[in-house]
Amino acid sequence: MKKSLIVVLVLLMAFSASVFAQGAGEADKGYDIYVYNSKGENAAQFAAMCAAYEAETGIRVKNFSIGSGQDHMETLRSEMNSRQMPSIFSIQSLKELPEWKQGGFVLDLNTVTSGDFAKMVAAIPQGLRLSSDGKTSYGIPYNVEGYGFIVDRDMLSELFGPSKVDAVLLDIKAATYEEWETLVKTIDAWITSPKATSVKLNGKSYTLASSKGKLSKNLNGVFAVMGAEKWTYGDHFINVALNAVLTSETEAQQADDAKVKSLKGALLAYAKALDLKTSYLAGLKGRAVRGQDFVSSSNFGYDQAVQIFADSKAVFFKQGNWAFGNIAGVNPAQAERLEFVPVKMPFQSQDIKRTDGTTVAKLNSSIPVFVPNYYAVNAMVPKAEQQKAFDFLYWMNNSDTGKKYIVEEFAFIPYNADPETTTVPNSLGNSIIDYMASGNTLSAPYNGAPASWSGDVVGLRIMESYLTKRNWTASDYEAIANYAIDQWLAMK
Amino acid sequence: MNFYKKWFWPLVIPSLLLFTMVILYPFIMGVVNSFLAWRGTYYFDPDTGTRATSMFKSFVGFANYKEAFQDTRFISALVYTVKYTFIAVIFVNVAALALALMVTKITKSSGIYRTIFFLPNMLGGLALGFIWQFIFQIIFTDILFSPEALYLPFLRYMTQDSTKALFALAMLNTWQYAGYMMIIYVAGLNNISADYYEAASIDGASYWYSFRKITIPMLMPSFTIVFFMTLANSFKLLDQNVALTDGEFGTRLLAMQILRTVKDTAPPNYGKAQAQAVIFFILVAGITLTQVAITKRKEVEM
Amino acid sequence: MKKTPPITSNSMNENYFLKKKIQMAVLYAVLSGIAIYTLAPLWLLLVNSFKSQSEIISSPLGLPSEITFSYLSNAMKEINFFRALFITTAITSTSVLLIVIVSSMAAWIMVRNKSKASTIVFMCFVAAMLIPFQAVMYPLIQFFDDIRLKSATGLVLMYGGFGLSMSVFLYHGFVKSVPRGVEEAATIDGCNIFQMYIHVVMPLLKSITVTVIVLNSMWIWNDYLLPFLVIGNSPTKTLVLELYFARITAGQFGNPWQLIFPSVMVSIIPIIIVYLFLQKYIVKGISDGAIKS
Repeated sequence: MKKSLIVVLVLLMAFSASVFAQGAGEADKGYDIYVYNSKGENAAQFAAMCAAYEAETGIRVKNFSIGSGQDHMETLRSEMNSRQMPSIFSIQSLKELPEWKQGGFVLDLNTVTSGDFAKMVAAIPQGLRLSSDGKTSYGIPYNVEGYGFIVDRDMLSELFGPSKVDAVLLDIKAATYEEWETLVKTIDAWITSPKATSVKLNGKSYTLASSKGKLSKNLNGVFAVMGAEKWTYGDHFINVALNAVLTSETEAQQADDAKVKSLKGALLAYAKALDLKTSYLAGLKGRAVRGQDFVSSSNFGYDQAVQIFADSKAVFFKQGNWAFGNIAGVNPAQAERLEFVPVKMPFQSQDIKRTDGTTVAKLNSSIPVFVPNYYAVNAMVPKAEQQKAFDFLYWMNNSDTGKKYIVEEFAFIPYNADPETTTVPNSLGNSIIDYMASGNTLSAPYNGAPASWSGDVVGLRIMESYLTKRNWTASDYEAIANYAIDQWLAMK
Repeated sequence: MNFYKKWFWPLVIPSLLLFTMVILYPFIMGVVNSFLAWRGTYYFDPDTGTRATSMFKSFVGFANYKEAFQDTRFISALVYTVKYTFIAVIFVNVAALALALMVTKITKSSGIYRTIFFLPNMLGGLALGFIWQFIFQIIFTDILFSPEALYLPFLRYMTQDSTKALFALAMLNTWQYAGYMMIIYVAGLNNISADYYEAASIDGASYWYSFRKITIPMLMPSFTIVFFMTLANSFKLLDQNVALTDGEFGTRLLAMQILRTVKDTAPPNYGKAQAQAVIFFILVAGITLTQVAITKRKEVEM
Repeated sequence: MKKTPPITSNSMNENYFLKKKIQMAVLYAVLSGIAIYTLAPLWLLLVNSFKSQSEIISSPLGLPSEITFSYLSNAMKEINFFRALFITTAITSTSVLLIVIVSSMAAWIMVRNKSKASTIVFMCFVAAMLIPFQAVMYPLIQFFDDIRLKSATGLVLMYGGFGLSMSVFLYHGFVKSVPRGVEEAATIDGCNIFQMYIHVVMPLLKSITVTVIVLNSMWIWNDYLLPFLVIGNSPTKTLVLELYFARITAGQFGNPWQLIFPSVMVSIIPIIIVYLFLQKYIVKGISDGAIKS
């Protein structure tokens, strides 16, 4: 007994030593630059890209990838506290910028004056820059992303006839909110009793099929909605309304009380559009209604909504191009046929407070396209290391190898892509590029709202008090809009 | 004895060293930080509005504490934690004691039952919390207690209501810890000499009478330890809170409130989070020490 | 204090035994019901380890439509099962060994040498049990980085520190009940302190040592936050970390259940096996720990 115990102990020690030996001997840093990537989904591809850079240039790149979930900031802070700080780190939107600016961690890239890198920084389109005042520029965009209502072309083909798909898509994109509302209600009625009904879209008439087809027989509602995910109606849906008043994150961050109050009309439109969207719900097991089930993450979480859409139980699914992978995981064939149509809201022309001539029609035919993440350069690392970081970022966005990784391996839409010539291996990505080409894009002012306002405050309130409530009235719209404004003012 | 005295420090020092490195020093630093405008990666200088050149420039006195007490989220987390702890301590203790009484009563295969009841305690963390979310949201709500089956509205949608969630959390916690606490009670029960019960039954005492007059008083030492453990555990509960409700519907417990404070503020106010952690510590320490003192006195009275 | 009037001694006996029997039957039924309740979540884990994502979402309770080990084997590959198992075992066993040695020595000498210092040190250890992890988290990580120990080695030291309080507490309570006689005899025989510790004291502390090993292994094995902050995404990931990173690389949003269920399943199998083999010692260890302290 005793002997065997000793043998076990010795073995354990020997085997532990082999684990701990790996941590020892770190006198040399072991790298030339250290890149901290907060898009954990492409961890393996990102590491491969770094290896490719090392092979080409001999510069040793240490890389660390983490998911974009809630722990990303904690980890980054712990890395920033360490002796081996990242040379390149990630900043997700304007909300995270004040911390790194105040702490002196982030370098204003406009202070770089010479070389290819400086030219690249200067060429970032104004709307895509990470800047709190319009003059500075604190990061190189990872990519651009966008969202809207995802729709399956084959579903439209069954609803309106194979020859009408392209036309109907174009006209849904251009349709007014009233036409959209009628379309939703007509499809909903058609699901219960299919008959050839006609609807007007963008002034043109289309007729629904008289019977159900292979896909449309699965329909049980119009929308697949994730009631349990606050960010979908908090951050993203509300962002469309903010665009009626605010043109950029910077403008949102600097908005004074009067400007915040002027959001009222747009927020009322938001509440009405949300009411419409959540009144015609598809569910896993048949038509669904607002109520406690609708905010349970086991019934209407992210995966469940993807499943509902991928099973053709809903016509529209409000999500972004990042959902491509999830949909392809369930229904690879359907994933090849997806397109975006814009999120529409019943704006009145007086709700629009931005002065750049944007009209209601323009808002309702555009989708938000924004930068979800930036590469920032650490101001605390030695100048020589910063220079190497510049070189790496330039190579990544301009060399053939770097671009190949961004487009093909990460499945990103490059921020510097030419919309006329770029295609990506992903139907939703290409749909976004189409919107970019036609200039029908909105920005992401919600990122300039006070921290946690959109998702954890307004989104939470909507989830707890409204998505559980069967019928909404005009006073509910009013209450939602007022709550959102009051909270913004209180949190500023 | 001289012999032990000579060796006291050499044998204690390794533990003191570890203790100082891992707990004492970080804890003192934590307390210091609760008086500073600490932002996690740097100290903020309120006078210049930038990074402070030294820690002392970042001193804000009791501002973080004041802010914490003015924060409605902190106060409601505090109240919620106290409520939760109350319910959880009762749940776990009643369940554990009932299990202990039952497994000591049966003659055959009592070992198998103990093994099963203790098992959940071996598995921890977030993963099981997610499975329980699944149970509350699907199995309870849609299957077991739906209107088509055994209709019990209270047991439906338990994770979506602040009062019901208290019980949901307590149920999960009971599932996880009752088996463990049961073992402690079983040990306590086995320590009570059968003579007492024999004497009582000769006197014609009923089961409840001897339970009240013999079992409960004799179990006092076990109560002390079980109460201590369940109190501390319930107060510090985090993983299950994150997994089950993520603090939604007003279900944030204190541990989670501290972690999330830095998410609620930008730049992150680590000083305030740290101040909450210090208040939290004082509370946990105060309550558990009072409890130990009270139950210990009961033991002495025996 | 009611007594049933005696009828005949024979029928009373029968009555008594019948009552006992019914009582037992009810007891077994209740216990079995609770046992099923206790095991149900694990059963859920098991059946869903053989299903695809869509099947898990659409029929969470049902048996898998086909028995395939592909999800399990895929999960084992995704979480680098054997490497992670090896690392977790190494970290857990080293930490526990450290805790056992350091805390048993300290507790023993503190009991044997009653002094003010000894009481103060002991009170410190006990008070530390009440410190929430959040109160020390950030300064701790920063300090270990400063002294160049933000590594697997540092992690073991941290576990040593966090496990110390409870273990000293347990040993302290136990040693009090161990008579000094044997030790005194040993000093007369000319044993030095370490010989005494190894040959005399430790054998007496066997059962509480089992407790200390069990309790500490359990939480260290399952711990997530500390390895996450210390090791993060390096190649030396523990099982729980592998699980976490597998989950986030599988998708930005939602829960990839077809990966989570089988991964959790394979990661708890080692614990369940160890538990089933050692459960006698584990249960005994815990009850001893409870009585003596």
